[in-house]
Amino acid sequence: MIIFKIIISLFILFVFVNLILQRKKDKLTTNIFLMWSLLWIAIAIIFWKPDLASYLAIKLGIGRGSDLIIYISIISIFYILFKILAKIHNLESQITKVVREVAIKNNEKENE
Amino acid sequence: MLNKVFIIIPTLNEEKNICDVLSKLLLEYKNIIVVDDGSSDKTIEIVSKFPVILLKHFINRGQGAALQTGNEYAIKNGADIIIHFDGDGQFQIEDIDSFIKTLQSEKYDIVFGSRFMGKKSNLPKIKKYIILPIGKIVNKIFFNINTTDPQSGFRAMTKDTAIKINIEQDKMAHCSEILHKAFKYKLRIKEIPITVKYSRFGQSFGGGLEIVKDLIINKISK
Repeated sequence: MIIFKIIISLFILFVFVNLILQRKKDKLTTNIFLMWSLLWIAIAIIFWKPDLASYLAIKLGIGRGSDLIIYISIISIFYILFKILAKIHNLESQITKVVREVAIKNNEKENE
Repeated sequence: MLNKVFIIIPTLNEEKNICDVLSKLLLEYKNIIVVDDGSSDKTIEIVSKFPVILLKHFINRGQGAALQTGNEYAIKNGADIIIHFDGDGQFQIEDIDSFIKTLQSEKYDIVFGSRFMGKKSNLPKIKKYIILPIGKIVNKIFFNINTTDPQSGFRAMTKDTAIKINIEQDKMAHCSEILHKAFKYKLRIKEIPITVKYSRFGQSFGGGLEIVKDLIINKISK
């Protein structure tokens, strides 16, 4: 079990370093950086202190720690999915604007 | 007096119908904008032979996107009235005049064509009794809009209206979007009867669901 914990911790460390590098290169906004950082820190804590999840679960009236983790995971996944959908929607609009601009510019060029 | 009329026709693979539509339209109107939305057939080749303005989307972006491209071009080129027409020959050219006259009365900002106001249209039964009633319900739920025709693509608007109504729905949800914005901006709205001759089914049930999906994503991603 301890080997598994170490592997996971190393993986989390790798992700964390990556997050910091991305933030330094300005590829992540502060909000996104904080959100991911908190998520991975929480994962690390739960891995080393699984009792904490059970404690929180009881406090929240859920019962089992593993259930709490599953609930939080599902909510997080849906949130991320929503953000990605919104991002795609936004990108689609940007593409349309480019296509529109090219269509109008090309027509103007042809008429010159 | 409003007089510079632009007719916008979005096309996607309309090689079979566009020649006929343009030949008839050009007998009465001169400012015709064809916005080709990435056709892979001979539509562009055919349209190029006519004295019309051809705007080409180099990739397909949807009918709403094509109409907005046409709107922007028309606004830029001094349109007074903008008419949205179809390239598949289902709308009747004789109806255009009623739209222009209604707008020229200067009592209205936008005029929608309705297939349910008396004039006969050969609407497929599924469309008439299932798809369009659902469309009406969707418009009511999402936008609190009550019109006799929830998805009419035949409409006319003044230049100022076109500036206000910036079409953001690239695909087929633009019909609901335009209606919604017309009500939201408290524009003076009029519905007039039109005749539609269906040569094909048009919007399918799956297409209807796609519209609802687009409306939901648009609503929650803002």
